[in-house]
Amino acid sequence: MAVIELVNVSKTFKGLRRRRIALTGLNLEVREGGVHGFLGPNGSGKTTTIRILLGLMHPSSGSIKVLGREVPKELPQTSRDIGSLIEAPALYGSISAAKNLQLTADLLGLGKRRVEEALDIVGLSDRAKDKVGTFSLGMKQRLAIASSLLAKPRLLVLDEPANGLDPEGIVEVRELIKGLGANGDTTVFVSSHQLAEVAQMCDRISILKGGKCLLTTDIGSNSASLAIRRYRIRVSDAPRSCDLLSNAGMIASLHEPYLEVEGDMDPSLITKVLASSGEYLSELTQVGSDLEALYLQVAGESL
Amino acid sequence: MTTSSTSVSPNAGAAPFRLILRAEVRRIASRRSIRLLLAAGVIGVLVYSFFLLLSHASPSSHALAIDNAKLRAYEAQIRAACLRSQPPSVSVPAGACNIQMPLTAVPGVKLPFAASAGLMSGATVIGGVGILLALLVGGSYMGGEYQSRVISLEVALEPRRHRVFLAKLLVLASFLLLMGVILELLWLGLGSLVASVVGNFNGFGMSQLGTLLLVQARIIVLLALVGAISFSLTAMVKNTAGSVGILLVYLLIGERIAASVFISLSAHLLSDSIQAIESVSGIEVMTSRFAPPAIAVIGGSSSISGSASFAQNMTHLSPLEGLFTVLIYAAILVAASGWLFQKRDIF
Repeated sequence: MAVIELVNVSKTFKGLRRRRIALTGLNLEVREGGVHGFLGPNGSGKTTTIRILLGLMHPSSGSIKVLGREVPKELPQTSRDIGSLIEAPALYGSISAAKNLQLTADLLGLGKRRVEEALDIVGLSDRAKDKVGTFSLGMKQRLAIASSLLAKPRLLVLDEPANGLDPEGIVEVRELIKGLGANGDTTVFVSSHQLAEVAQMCDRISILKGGKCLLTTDIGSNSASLAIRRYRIRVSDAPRSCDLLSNAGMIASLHEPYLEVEGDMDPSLITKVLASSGEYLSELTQVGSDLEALYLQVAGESL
Repeated sequence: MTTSSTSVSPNAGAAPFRLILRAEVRRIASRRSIRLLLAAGVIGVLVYSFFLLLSHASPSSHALAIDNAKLRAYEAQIRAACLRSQPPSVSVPAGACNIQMPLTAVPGVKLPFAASAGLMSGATVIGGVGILLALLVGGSYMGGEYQSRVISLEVALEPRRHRVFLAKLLVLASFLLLMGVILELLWLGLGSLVASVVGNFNGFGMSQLGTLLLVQARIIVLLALVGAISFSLTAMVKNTAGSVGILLVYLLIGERIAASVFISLSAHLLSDSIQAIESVSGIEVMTSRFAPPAIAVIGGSSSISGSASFAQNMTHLSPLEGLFTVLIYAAILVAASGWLFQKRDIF
């Protein structure tokens, strides 16, 4: 079952001086379960799409269904099943983490126990009584995710959750999202423009550009669409190794002192070809993720 | 035909209105800026009462006689100076330099705090402070929700936006009514204390108490209405400073301009209405009235004589009329901002 279905959705912002088209005939389907990445450069319409999904913005045209219900008409029947985090965490800095969550829990008719559980999920139980104003951005982000998890939602919508985080915070949030997607009860729909992050936590992605969805695909290890790989190799005799790999049918190019090999192959094949001719690798690195290559293919530009 | 299957969720259905109300009560109580404003109001009443304690005294009849003697001497000094300053060629009319001065003109003299007048004027002063607080509380309550982006979280959880708006408005109005009751009751207690320590209750009977309570009750209702106006404006512009600024500019400049353009507005200005509500029996306001040219009918045909003009006259604006006017302003703004809140994108 699709948890999100957007058919021909458009959104135009009408300003006093000019109109800005944010979405233009967007079609998107998000399957139930796992983590679905929503990729696109800044200004591609990711946040607008998410705001429309949550009923914060009205679409100019098109049809939207979330958890099988029409948006915005039937959103009240399903809003408690949707947890959300839109860009910056919506929290009060002057009160404690637990009190912040309790304010949202009150709206959902949930008690103190569920607040404690949610804090536990995001690993903030020991900071429950501390004021949010003293938290790092990563902790605030985790707290906002805890807030979105209070009602045990079937769908979790996260807009750029790693934005502005330090490397430690990025890892914290990534592991949290991966864990949520893996438990099977919640589908996570996460927007980002950080390819590496998306590659590490998503099972499926959609690429958005210019208000249109260009591609939706799985990014698991069996995905044929992500077969393009590029490796950087360091050997003692780079020109000779380049010839050896080319003769073995691989696309090899010389970038002294490195070699770059591109193609749908297992990296062990590279080592086998070179070792059989007496050339031994001192370094083999995958340069550019599969996702980056795919993104460049589809969107025609880097993020 | 295909039908999409939707599994029934244990969470299905949005929150009942009582939950939204309860959440809003906790939300407003947890807002530091609002707690600070309430504390500022209470401190303001305490400071005002302390100032009154210092500036009044209950002199004995002997001390009062001495003060009166000082006043006579002071008046005599001024009279002598006045006569000296006249040119010799000018004959000064008898009594021209006889200046009567109040006892308070004598340096160091303190009069008793008369409850009959002082409690009422104090209630009005507290009302003025309360209006300013209501303006800020109403604005910062909604503005803070936009600034912290909590409003998007609330609307995402309760997509029926009118319920969120209504809950906020009801909780704000209740909070401001409570704030008004606290401030006015505090003043009643402290004002009475001031009167008993450095003043008197001469001429302050049950009917005066009834009038005072009635004015205080009107002020309390006014605070809720001012808060609703400020809240609505903030919901429109999504910014506290912007809405408070707009309201102040309107009150100081805008409505006089509006009244000069729309003549019928001159008897229904917001600032005049607020003053009328705070007064015991209303105020006199200057209003303009359009006077059309005279039409004379001579021999079956009509002719216009003279020219159109604006006649100005004084009109009495009663407290109830003032309350009704403010209520109309609040209702229009609440309706407009509620409609916009429902229809517009949140961000």
